[in-house]
Amino acid sequence: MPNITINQQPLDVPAGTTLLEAAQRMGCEIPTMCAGKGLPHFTSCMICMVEDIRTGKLLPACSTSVMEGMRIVTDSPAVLDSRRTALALLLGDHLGDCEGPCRRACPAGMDIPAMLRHIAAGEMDEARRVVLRDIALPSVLGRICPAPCEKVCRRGHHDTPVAICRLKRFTGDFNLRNNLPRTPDTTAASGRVAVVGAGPAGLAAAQALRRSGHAVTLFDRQPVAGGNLRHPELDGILPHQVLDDEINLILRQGIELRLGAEIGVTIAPAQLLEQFDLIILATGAEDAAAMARQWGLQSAGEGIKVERHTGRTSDERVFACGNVVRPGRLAVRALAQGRTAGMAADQALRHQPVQGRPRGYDHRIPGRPEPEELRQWLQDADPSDRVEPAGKPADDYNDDEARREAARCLHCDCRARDACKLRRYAETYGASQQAWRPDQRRHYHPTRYGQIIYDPGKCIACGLCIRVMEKAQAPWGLSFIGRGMDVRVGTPFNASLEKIPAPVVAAALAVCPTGALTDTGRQCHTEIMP
Amino acid sequence: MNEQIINEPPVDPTVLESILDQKGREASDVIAVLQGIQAHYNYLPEPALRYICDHSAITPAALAGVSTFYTQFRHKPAGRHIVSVCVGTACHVKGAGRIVEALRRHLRLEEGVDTDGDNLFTIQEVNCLGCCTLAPVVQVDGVIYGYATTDNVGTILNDFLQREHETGQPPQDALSDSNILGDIRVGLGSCCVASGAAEIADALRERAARTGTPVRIRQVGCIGLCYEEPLLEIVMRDRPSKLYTRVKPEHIPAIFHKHFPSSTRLERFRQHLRQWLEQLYTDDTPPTARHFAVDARDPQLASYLDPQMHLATESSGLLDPVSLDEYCGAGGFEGLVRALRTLKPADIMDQIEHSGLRGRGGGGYPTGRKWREVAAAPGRPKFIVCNGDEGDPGAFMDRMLLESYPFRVIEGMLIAARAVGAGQGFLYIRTEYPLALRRMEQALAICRAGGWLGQNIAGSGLDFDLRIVEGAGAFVCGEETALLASIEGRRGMPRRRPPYPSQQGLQGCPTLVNNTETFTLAPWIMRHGPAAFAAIGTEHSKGTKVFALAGKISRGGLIEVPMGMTIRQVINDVGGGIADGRRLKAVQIGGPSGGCIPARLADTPIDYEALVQAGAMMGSGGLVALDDTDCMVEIARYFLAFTQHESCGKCTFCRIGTRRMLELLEGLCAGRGTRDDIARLEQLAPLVRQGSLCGLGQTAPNPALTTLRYFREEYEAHVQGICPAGQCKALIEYCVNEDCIGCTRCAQRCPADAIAARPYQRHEIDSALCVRCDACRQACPTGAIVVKSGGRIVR
Repeated sequence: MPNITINQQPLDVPAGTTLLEAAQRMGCEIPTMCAGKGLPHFTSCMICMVEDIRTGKLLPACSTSVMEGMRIVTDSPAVLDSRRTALALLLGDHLGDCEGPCRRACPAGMDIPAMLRHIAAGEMDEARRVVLRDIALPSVLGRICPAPCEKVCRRGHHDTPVAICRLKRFTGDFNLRNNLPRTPDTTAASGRVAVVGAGPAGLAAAQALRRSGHAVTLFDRQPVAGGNLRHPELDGILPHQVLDDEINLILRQGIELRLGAEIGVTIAPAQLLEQFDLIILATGAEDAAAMARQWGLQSAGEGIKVERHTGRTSDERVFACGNVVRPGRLAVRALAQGRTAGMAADQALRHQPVQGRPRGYDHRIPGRPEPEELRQWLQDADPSDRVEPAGKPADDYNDDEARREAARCLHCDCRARDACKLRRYAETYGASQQAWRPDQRRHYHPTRYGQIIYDPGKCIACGLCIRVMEKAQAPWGLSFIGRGMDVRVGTPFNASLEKIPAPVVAAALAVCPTGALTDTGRQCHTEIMP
Repeated sequence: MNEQIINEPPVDPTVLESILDQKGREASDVIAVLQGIQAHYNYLPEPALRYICDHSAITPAALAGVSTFYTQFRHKPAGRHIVSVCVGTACHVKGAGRIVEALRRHLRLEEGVDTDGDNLFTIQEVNCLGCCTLAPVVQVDGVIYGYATTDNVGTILNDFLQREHETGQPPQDALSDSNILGDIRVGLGSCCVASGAAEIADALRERAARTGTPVRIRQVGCIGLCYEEPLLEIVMRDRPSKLYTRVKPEHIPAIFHKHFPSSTRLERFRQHLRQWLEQLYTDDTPPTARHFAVDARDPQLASYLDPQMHLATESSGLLDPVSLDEYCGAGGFEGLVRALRTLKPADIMDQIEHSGLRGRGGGGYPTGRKWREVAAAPGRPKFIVCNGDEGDPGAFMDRMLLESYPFRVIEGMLIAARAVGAGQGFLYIRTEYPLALRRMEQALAICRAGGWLGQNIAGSGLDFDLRIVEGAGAFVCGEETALLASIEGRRGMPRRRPPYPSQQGLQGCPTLVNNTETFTLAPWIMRHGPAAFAAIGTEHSKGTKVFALAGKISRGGLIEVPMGMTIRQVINDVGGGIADGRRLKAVQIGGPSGGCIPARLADTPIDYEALVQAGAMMGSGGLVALDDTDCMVEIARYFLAFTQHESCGKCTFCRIGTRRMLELLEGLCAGRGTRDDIARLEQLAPLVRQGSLCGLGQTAPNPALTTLRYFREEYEAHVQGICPAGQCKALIEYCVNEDCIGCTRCAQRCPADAIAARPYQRHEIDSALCVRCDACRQACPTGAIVVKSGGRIVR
């Protein structure tokens, strides 16, 4: 048995074991995209590089067997640099969006494509969960949001953007109609949090914290919750009933509401700091200066100074969100900030790194889509123009209209967005799509085999799908076509996949490390809150 | 998606059946079968491919993968004739790019189209035709034209069409051996043929037949004097032989007459009369033989040949390549016989090891050690493979060795087979080398007939046979694991080593893969002993090295020099210095894997380690001299474009990394480069080197790295918008200075109408129309046309 070490740990593996397997056995995961269980190694992605520090040489772990005397390090600076560069090269060559532009544009990061797909499939309960995960007041926002998501919807390059906002309202109203109770996460170590201000930011923060299992007390100096959402400007646009119902749904999760409580008048900051573990300030624009002074916080511009992605102020027990940080008119932004501050506060209470809302790597297609690319996307969408509600009450979709409108989504977000190894590793190793971007971008030009799409823009030429077919000895199976930069995967004579046994095709789809080989017939689900 | 509708004409099953019968029906025969189909149809018709799938063990998936991997295969019909423009290094530095453009203009090809409207000619670029000394070279079907210019491309195509009409085989010479007066030897390597040697041979035969002179006209292999081609050597009994260079068919009568005066008075009279008549009807006095005679004591020739040592190329120019008798007469197979009769396999390997021979394919792995590894490796059968997939642009050593010394290659392989215990061997030869393929085929047949291949060779009990595998246009197949994949009928994609082929090669069995030159040296070592070989060269690099010397050199050709000779000696003493009175700027050695060694390091010896230290590598032996008109950024771009095109596309660093490097270099050449781009190039290059799977990717950054190391100021000049060598089209403009005499020649030659003809006035070039083809500058009799870059005259 060869005498080797991995990360200074001596190892006891038989000769012939690859470094990848050896490391796995000792619980050290080496990233790889082109290696597959039960398939011969191929050594193409070059992500699995490790360093033998005796020689300073980098070795691909997937296809290097253990050899006497090896001193392997899996995370040396040279390894990380090589890995990051390999990923950046793949990313520079990659064409696709992880997330749709709509979701990126949404200040709350709502998973719009998932909502649309669930609505289109008639899965309203799932749609509701998707929406509520990110948006505390969907029925409210569905009436007042200026919908930045629709401005960037790619469907708009063809005819009219998908009516996202109206569909969100449809979903929110479904939620209100069904009046479904929500159960908070009970696994949490419970902290005590005071949220000051019951406007959109405060409500969102309170909801996020309560959902994580904390005891939340919501203060507002007004006699009724809602803050700026009760502004006279919104009369006639936002019915009070809708607002009240949606606020009540939040409060019913077990949030204590104390109205008529004004900080510095009926209750002192010191008192709050004594009674609660953390404070979240969401008092709105007019109080910003007073708040900073009362709480002894640093100011910036017209508001309280906070860390950008967490809302933490100069006092680490105090968070701030909404207009008290920076005045603005977008309710959805206030809501998003509230949720972010809530999540950050939760992280602080759990003694985790305070990061706010986790943002994964998000690849994007630069520039406008070409007409041909739109044509390709349209093949997977309902071709008709926007559905206008026909019935009463005006502006509201019925179920059928909502389904048809939702089906107009081009699904330009990635079908593998939650399973993609490239995305995961890009995040882990901090690789960027900008580092080695090409002179000219690729174009979206997939090959369609019935329901199955092969997208060369997302293919990393790892050949896993091909090896699955070779292993199954499928004579009409996929193979590499062309070579070099132009290499892609295809069938002989562009034959359909029908000549290949269905389980083999399914296995090939399953091994694709990115979204290059996907089944349009299978819904892409995302993890949904309970 | 449904299968595409087939709207191609049906194919003839009898044709396909005969191809299958000939090439085989096994999965591993796919490349040969595809070559057979393409040879017949000029492309790969889909119905033919479908037929193959149905009637052989070749699967549709394999067919799809293989037929799209190798550049030889075309999936669309081509014109009746294929015009291949060599874009190898030597041709590139002599303006091959402009030749391609000129051909495209001549045939009026639009962007993205490669076949003319009449479907007569299809233009393609090929990496290297191995005729570097005739650069730039154009090949129309099988006919090679050297010294192409932007002006004569039309003439070339017309000449070809004219030849097409000519019929008839050259007359066979029917002389008996008994009363011959002497030998006339004509060099008939590819480049000799390209320079007109076949016409010379025809003219000689015609002359001999007409005068009834009993001489033997013989084809001999390359003698390496490529710069003086075509060559003709007259060897008379009891008289010193005479070598003529740069011979033309019209010289033949005079040469012939000088050595073989007509026997009859009447014939002599006729000859004089004809010469007199020719004088009357032509302007020029017919050249006499004296003009062309190169005496062996000619100091130039002596200096070309003297510093050389012929081991791999032993008996250079003396042997008929496919005459077994001559080969044996010159000591051929003596080494093998010695190895078979007096040495045990272990002794053979001892001797190879003691000789210090290292692999000539580039890496320099000790040959004896490799043989031992194969011999010791468990598993049977064992194979040996001769790697003749010489894809380097600017290298033609393998071609010449295979064309001129096929028996020596075979002998070397037999020695190796005996040593390692192999029973079957393969010769992997590029499809771009048709003559090498033909000669080797002939040589194999002769050896089989003569008992040098087959069972119980030379009564020694050794059973061994050889098969030729024709490459199909993939440089990466020079990498040994890719080469083995190709022999097995797969896409030529390298795999990770270890296991090395010596452990697991063909069909998973131990396989010895050596370069052609390595094999040709083995017979010499067997015959002269390892000590004699080890006495030549440097401490770690023994023996000789064959180089293809080309580029801006006075005397290019195939040379064999002892290791340890300096680059300067090679350039000056062997190559006669830089042509046209220019200055040596750098030597590109090792092709796309090698690097540019600047003139100031010209005292670097030919030695594996010394070259690597200088940033280059031995490579397979391309040696291209560059002068002060060569732009080093452009040279780096050229090589990166080559490797990028030849990347198999398997691993990330090579597939994408080299493309990004190429884009940076293209940007610099196009005047879009920034300082940051230079830094990015330097950042990416080492990562590509360490992160690529095989040698192709690992060495791809070398040309960029060495030029950055030695010619950084040129990169920086490009950032300022200046190309100091005046090569990068985006950074230069052509101007007419006051020396213009108004002769209008430039205007007549300009293909882009950028110069208006104004007799007796100073001409002007419209820079917006100018395509920078350089035709005007070459045409100008007074040197009035200059190239400016950044406002400065650079050329």
